[in-house]
Parts: sequence; structure tokens; C-alpha cells
Amino acid sequence: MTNAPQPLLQIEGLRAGVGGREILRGLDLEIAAGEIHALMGPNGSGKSTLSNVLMGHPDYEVGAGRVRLAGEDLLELSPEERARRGLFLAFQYPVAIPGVSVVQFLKAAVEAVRGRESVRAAAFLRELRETAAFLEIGEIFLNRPINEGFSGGEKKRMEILQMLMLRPRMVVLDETDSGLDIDALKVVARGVQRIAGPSAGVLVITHYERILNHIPPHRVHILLEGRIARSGGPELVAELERRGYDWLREPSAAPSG
Amino acid sequence: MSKAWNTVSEAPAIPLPPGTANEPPALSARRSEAARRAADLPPPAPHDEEWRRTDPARFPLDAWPPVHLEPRPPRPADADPLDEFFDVVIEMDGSGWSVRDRGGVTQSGRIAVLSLAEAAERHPDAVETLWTLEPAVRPRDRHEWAAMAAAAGVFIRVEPGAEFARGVLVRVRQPAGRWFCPLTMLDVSERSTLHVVSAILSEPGDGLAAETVRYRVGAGGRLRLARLQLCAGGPSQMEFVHGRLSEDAQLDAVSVHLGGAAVRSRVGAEAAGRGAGVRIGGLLLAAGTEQADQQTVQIHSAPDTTSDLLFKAAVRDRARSVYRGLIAAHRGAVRIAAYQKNQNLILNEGARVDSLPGLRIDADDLTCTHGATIGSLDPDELFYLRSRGLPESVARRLILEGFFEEIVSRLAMPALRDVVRRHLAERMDAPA
Amino acid sequence: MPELPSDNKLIRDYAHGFVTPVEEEVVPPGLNEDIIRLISRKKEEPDWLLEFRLRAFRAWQRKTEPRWALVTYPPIDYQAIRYYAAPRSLSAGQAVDPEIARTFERLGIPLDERRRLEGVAVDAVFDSVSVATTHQKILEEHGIVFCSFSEAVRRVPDLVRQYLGSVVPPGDNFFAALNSAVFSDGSFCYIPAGVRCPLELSTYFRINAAGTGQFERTLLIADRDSHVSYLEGCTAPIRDENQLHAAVVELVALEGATIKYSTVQNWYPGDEQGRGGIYNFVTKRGDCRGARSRISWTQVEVGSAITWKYPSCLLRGDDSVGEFYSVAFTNRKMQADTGTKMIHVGRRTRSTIVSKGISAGESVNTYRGLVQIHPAAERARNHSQCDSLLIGDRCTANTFPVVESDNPTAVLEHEATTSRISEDQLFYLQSRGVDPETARSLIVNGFCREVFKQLPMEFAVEAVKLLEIKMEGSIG
Repeated sequence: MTNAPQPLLQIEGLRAGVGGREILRGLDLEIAAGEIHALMGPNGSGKSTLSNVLMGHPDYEVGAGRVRLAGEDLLELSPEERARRGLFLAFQYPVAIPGVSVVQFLKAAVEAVRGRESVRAAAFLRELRETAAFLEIGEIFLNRPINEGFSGGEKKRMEILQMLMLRPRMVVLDETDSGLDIDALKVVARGVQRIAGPSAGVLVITHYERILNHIPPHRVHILLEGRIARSGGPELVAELERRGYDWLREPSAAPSG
Repeated sequence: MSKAWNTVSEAPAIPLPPGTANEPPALSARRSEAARRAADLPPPAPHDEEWRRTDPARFPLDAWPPVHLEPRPPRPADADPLDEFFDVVIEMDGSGWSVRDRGGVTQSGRIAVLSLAEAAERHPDAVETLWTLEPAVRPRDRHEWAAMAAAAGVFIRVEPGAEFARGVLVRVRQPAGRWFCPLTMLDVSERSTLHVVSAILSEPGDGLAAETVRYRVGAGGRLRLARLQLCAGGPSQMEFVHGRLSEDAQLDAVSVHLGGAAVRSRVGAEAAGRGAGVRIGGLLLAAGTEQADQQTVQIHSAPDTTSDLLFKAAVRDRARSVYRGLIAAHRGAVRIAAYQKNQNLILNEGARVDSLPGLRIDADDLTCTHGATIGSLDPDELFYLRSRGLPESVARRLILEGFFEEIVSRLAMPALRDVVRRHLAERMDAPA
Repeated sequence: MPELPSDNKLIRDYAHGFVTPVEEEVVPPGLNEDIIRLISRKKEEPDWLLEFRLRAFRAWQRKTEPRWALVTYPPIDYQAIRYYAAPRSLSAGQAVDPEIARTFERLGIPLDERRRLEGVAVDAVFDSVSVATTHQKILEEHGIVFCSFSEAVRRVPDLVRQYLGSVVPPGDNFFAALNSAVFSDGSFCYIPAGVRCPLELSTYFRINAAGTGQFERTLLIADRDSHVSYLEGCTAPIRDENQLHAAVVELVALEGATIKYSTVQNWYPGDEQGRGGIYNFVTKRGDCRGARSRISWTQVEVGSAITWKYPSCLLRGDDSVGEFYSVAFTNRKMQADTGTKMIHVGRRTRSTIVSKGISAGESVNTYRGLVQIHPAAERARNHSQCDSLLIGDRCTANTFPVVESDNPTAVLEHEATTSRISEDQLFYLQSRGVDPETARSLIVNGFCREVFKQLPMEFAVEAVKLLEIKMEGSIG
């Protein structure tokens, strides 16, 4: 440990999996407030497992390690407690909830996360409309059941809308760029830039460099077989683009963790 | 017409066939039990929920003398062009049953084709299990017990891991003027595959045929079962098909009904082992004054099982079709997906359709869906085809073929699909 | 008079479970022609009505109790039930007993004309009799008759005689025959031709006395091109005995008329061991007698130990419309066998069925429905959607629809699903900070939304709250 200020998100030796199969095999990662990190890796490297474990999906088991948000241990907390402490996950595959409108849903969520007293009905609606407009989401969507019949792009924008409304301090974007056209991607990036700032941390989990052109990261990590195989600056993205993942698999290149 | 039944002077209330005396005692005991159970149940009355939609008078149990199906040698006259697509061809008719092993597969010892009496000697446990298979949610009725009391026929067993290039054809010719109860027992061992096709024809005239099919599929095994009923104007027909699947076993069943003055059918499958999958398709075209009453039962008694059922019916003239479906999920059958759909077309005024899909769910963590539709040929589709120069009759036939194609295409063999399409076309074009 | 049970949890679960200490006038238990004559005499009824009752009684004696529904209960001793109970103060013809007024006040139904609910006229029924009907003046201005059944027999005997039993004949079924023989009171409503009823009409049924059954009768007639929205609410005290409620509701919609009938049923459902609670065996039927008429049933069922109820529409008029929107929630050892019948007789008749069943605890929740297209019902349409949601692994959900078509131009569609609350949906909501209980309640409300939006505003809010309360603790 250095004497630097306490990191916002701190993952130490995390081992976790699903259905009895270990997928994360000792993962370490630190993100300080004000930083944007990218986590890249091929299919099956454990990217989605990490996002689910961070948010506390009940199907995932944690074998060892620690995850702290602003110094507080997250792993013992329920998903809603994690959300209330400022963690936000933009899902790769957001589910639909029939009959529950976006307004109704977000009101319940905002009240739960930001506190009932702090949100008055009129102010909430005003903020929701403004935020929706900022993300180019038609107002008609707000009264439709959440994610039901939404296109891929609409769902992802809806995730970003929720993120802005809940004002988290640590954001995890799980493959938010997949299935997005360039215009939708710009809107998503605009939303992320709004939340990113001196006090918030962002982890962009992705397959492709495309989203990183719009959300430039301070640090880039490569996830391979459940461990961070390499970390570096933004230049790592270009190198990855040029050389693929295989050069990292050579035993000599793997850091000892 | 054969008058051999004169040897029986008087039909008893629950007819038992002659010639069952030499059977193994266990089988005889089961037979007497079935006769007793049938006699204990009251005869169907029109106000019974089970018979409210079908006229019980069309299925009299005591009107016809029973046939006992004894093995007999094959006859050259039995041959049919369809035979060449099969390894084994079995004939069942009023004079007995025969087997032709065209591919010589029985020599290998990996498949056995036996009479019920032989099977009761050599595979008593299998016969006992198959005989007593019964869906708890829908117990056997009087007719089903009576059919078992008189049932005789063939037992087919496939050894573990066995697979054959071609399947088994069972050709049934229902005799007129008789109480005819052919039986097929299918014992598909683990990891083996069996493909059975039944082609059911009938002599003109009346009578009552009640066919029993019992199957079990061992772990990882697969049974393809196609039943083609192609008899217009023959005896009243009943069929009782039921079986059980072990872990990861698969059933793919298709039943086709193209005719029959009165048809009452029960088709059931129980996914009893984890990972078992059931797929059942049905097609029915009824014309004239035909009455069809089809029941299906999908039982899920193990977790992670799936079932997918699609029954389609079209009725013309003054015909009537009744479909009754049930999905039953037993307690503990979690993570199952069950689907049941019944689609119906009424082709003219005077025809009638009833649909009674049903869900009976005692487990959670599952998704069960059923759906039923009743309608007529889409006037827009008809108009579109006619605007392209097709006569109305051709346009109607095309749309109807399209409606049924989803089921026809589930038949594995192209030759069978052609047979069904040919019969369909004849039935559609026949004058009322 | 039995005392309030002291178990606080029961009181919390079922806030309407208190008993009102009033002196009641009751007839001796038992059912025979003498009792029926006695009830009829007490109500000072005309001879034709006594005849109607006796005819029904004789039909009932010939009938056997139906056993086809998927509900089980010990045999009911019909000779042990009292068929009439009325607060004594009322029979003396006084103003509303202050105790009873307080009861309705506590149930949220002030009877006092100055403090009555705005926009809703209420007929309050306490055990066997109607105790008060509010907003009389404005109703009379529109020529609307809305009063207790007994009063209607005196005020508009010809209307009652013309329509009583014309939708549900006295011998229709076992429980309808029983009701026709012994019905005590209920609401009557007549909307004259062309009138759009300016208020919501409402009947609030309260069972109070012990050992009695409630057998109310509702008759609602909407004359040509009229419009009415009617609400019905029900509660009963917590008692460890089972009480029988066998009501009959008859609706008649003449040409161009619309009737919207909404029910929030919150009878006492029994305790965790399945002791006590109301047996709710009810016959509700609407007759779309005239062309372009419309009858819409909306029901929210959260109470009763056993529910046996199939609000139905007979679509006789050409272009008439029948609707059924239902939420049935069962918990503990509750049993519900409920659904609807849509009988299409007229041409171009249309019907919609939306049924949402939620089963929790060890309850059994069955949807049973019939859609029937008669040969003359050209181009009739039906769409049915029946969904079941399972909470926990000890409950049962059944769906038994029957669809019958005798006409080639009719189009019928039925869809049904059964599933449980998805873990993914729960996780998604939790990841947004919502606690699991609120998340479940959001999902269940979403599941029921199509039905709730049919209810008048105040009722919808009430229904959502009621369901939330009922769901508490239903997750094991």
C-alpha cells in the first residue's frame, strides 16, 4: 500500500465464479475518485462475472478476496445496499419488467438511493424530463414499462438515464457499447462524461476500443483467465488493437498478480 | 368379410379375447385386473364432463366381439412401397400380427421384436412397468382399461446405445365389425434411438378399434414416434398413448388424423428425469359428420425439463373437433419450460371447434404457457391468392396446406411427408 | 357478542377484523318454508316475492352442492346457519345506530350526509339489511333509483318484478337458488334512459353477526343509452368460524347502455392455519340485452377463505361488449376458483378477458373460464389473457379455460402463462437500490397494472395498497 489517498474502489485477490466454476482467479484492481478505467478482455475472461460480483448477483459465489467502496467492505452487502452506497452497474442485458413504468420504477429507485425526503415529486419529474432530453430519450418512453419492447440502443440509453438520476460515485459500464450505433454511443458517452468528475470513478468494461475513443480512460487493464494480465496507460488500447490478446498469454508476460 | 368371430357366442360387457389362456400368469393377472377395473367403472353418460363433447354411443364397448392378436407369418400381399424406408415392418390386422425384418437388424441382438406373451416371459419387469404406466393427473377410464384387458401385439426393445439407420413401420389395418385392441410397447434403453412409424388404415364398415401405445425412454435415449391415421369411414377409433422419459431423454412425437367417423385420442408424456425433453405435434382434418376428441397431457415431474406441444385442427362440413390439453407441473419440478398451443380453423358454417387448454402448476420457478386460437381462413390471404389468378378452391387448399405445414415438416422422413400431403389434398378437395 | 381477538398480528394483517357491539335481531338457525315465510313477513313483502322465494327454495332442495370447483371444505350444515340478522335499532325504524355509523366510518365510509364521500353514493349493508344510502337528493334529480333492495320492492315494485331473476333464474345453481330463497337485502339501481349517472354508485357489504350467512341480492338495470359505474366493497370481522356469503348480482344493460361493475373483495381470509374466514360462493351475471350495450366486470380479490365466483356476460345484443378484468391474490390456505363466462349470441359481439392470479403460501388459485360462440354470433371476437404468478413453492396455480366456437367467422384467442417472479428482475431492481420487498411489490403491481387501470382512481389506489399489505410476509 502506498500513502496515496484511499482508492474509491479497491479489489484485492478476488476469486469468484458461478455454478461451482471459478472464473475470477485472484483479481486486483484499484480505481481512485476522478479516474476512468477501462477493462478489456476476450470472451470468457471474466468481465461479466466481475460486474455481477461487484453488484452482488445472488448466483455468483465469492471464494476469496475483498471489495471495498470508499473503504467499506461491499461483499457482505445486498445489491440494494451497494446501490445506496453509490455503486451503479449499467447492465449488458437490462431486463424488462412488464407493467412497471420508467417513471414509477425510477421514483422508487431514486427515493431508495437518494432518500425520500430529498426528492419532491415535482422536482423529481422535472429532473427526469431534463435528463431524458439530455440523452435524447423521448418523453413517451418514460410512461412505458421499463425496457419492454425497447430496442438495444433504447435499453442502453435507459441505463444511462438511471445512472444520471441515481448520481452514483462509482459506475461500472458492462459492455454498454455492444449493439450501439455511433449516434447512440455518443449520447451514452455524453452521459458518462457528465457523471465522471473529480469525485466519481468509472470502470468501462468492453471488448472494443470504439467506446474508449469517446470515453478516454486514464488507465487500461487487460483481463485474461480471471486475472489482470497487464495494466497500462491509454497506449495499451492501441497495442491490443495491433497485437490481439495472444502475446499476453505467454507465461513470461503474465505478472505474478 | 371375416365371420371368424362366430366362435364367440355372446359378447360380455367387458369383452376379453379368446386365446389368452397360454400367457404367463403375471400377464393374465394384469388382464383380469384390467377387465375388473373396467367393469367397476360406470359406463360413460352424456352428462359426464369427460364425455360431454363426444357421443358415447359412438364408442360402444359391448357391441363387437374382440380379436386376439396372435403372431402369424408375413404375407406377400402385405408389402407396400413405403416398406423400403424401414428396417422392420410389422403388420397388425384382424387375422393377427406379423413381422418382417427387412434389414436383418434383429439378428444383431440389439433390437428385439416380441409378442406381448414372449415379452412377459423374457422382460417381465419392462412389461410390468409399461403396463402400469399411467398419468396420475388423468387416470385410465373404462375404455382404456377394457382395451388393456383385450390388448395384444408387439413389444419392441432396443439395447443400450443402439441406433439404426432406418426405423420400424407398424401398419395397422383395423377390421370392421370387431373390438380390435392392438398394443405396441416400446422399451428404448439408455443412449439408444428408435424411430417408429404407425400407419393406421381401416376396412370400411363399423366396429371399434382401441390402440394402446406405451413407451419408456432411458437416460439419454431418443424416441421418434409418428402416428398416421389415414382411415375415412372405418370403425370408431380410440388411442391411448403414454410414456415416460428418464434423464436427458427425448421424445419427438407427431400424430396425424385424417379421417375416422369418431376419434378419441389421448396422448401423454411424462418428463420424469432431469433434462428430459418432450416435443409433440398434432394435425387433424375432420370432414362430413366426423367427430374428433383429442386429449394431451404433458407432465413434468423432474426439474430442468421441457415440453413443447402444438396441435392444429381444421374442420369442414358438419365435423366437430374437441381439443383438451393439460400441462401438469409437479412439486419440485423447478426450472421447467412447458408450452402448449392449439390452433383451429373452422372452414364453413356448421362445423364446430372446442378448445380446452389447461395448466395445473404445483411448482414455482418455471415458465408454462398455453395458447388457443379459433378462426377461419384469412379472407385477405384468400383474396390475395385469387387476385393472382388462383381459383378459390386452390387458394383455400394452399392456405390450409400452409397451416398444416408446421406439423408436416416435423415428420422426419420425406416419404412420410409426401403421404400426408397427398392424403390432405384428397381430404380437402373431397365433396362434402 | 364475541370479543376482538387479542392477537395483534391478526389485527395488523386484517385491519377490518373488528366486531361492532350492536344488538341484533336474528331468526332461529335453520332453513325451511316457515323460516322463509318469516323473513318475508319481517320484510313486509308482497305475495309474488314470497312465491319467488318459495319456488327457489323448492329448486334448491332438488339440487346438490356443486363439487367440480377445485376447492375443498368440510360439509356446510345449512340447518345451522341463521338466514337473517339485523341490528335491532334499525328494525324499529330509527335513524342509523351510532355504533353502526362508527363502524362504517372506521371502514372509511362515512354515512353522515355532511361528511359523506364526494362523488360516490354509498349503500351500506350491515349483515342482512341496508342501513343507509347517501347522496339521495342528487340521484333523484336525475331520476335514478338507488336504494336498498327492500325499499325498491316498496318504491318500484314493477321494475323489481320485471327484472328480478331474469338474468340469474331462481334455480340457476345451488347457491343462486339458496340466495333466491333467503336473500335478505342488497342494493337496487335503475338508471333511466339517456342518463349518465353523475356519481359512482357503491355498495359496501359488512358481515358482523356471528353464525349468520349473508345473502344479499343486487339488481342493476341500465336503461337505453345510460351509463353507470358501480363499486362494491366487502369486509368481515375476524372469527374462527367459517361464514357463508352467497350473493347474487344481476345486471341488465339495454340498448346502448354501459355498466361498469368493480369489486374489491377483502373478506376475512382465515388465519395461517386456515381457520375461519368467509366462504364466498357468489353468482354474478350481466345480460347485454340490447344492441351496443356493454358490461365490464373488474374484480380485485384479496380476501375470503374460499372464493367460487365467475362474473359473466351474456352477449345477446348485436355489437354488445363484455369485459372481465380480474386480480385474484391468494395466500396462506386460501382457495380461489374464479373466472368468467362470455356467451356470444349476438352478431359482432366482442369480449375481453384479462385475469391475473397471484398465489402465495399454501394457497390454491384456479382460473376457470368459458368462451362460447353461438352459431348466430357472426364475426364475434374474443381475446383472453390469463397469467399466474407464483410466490413460493408450496402454492398451486391452475388455468382451465374452455373455448367453444360454432361459427366460422368468429375469431378467438386465448393465452396463458404461469411463472414466478424472475430473479433477474429482482436483481435489476435491487441493483437500483430498491429493497426486495418493494421490488416484489413493484413487480406484482406491474403484473396487475392492466386490471388496476380499469378501476376508478380511488379504488385503484386502495387496491394497490391492499395488495401490498396482503403480500407482506407472504415471502417465506
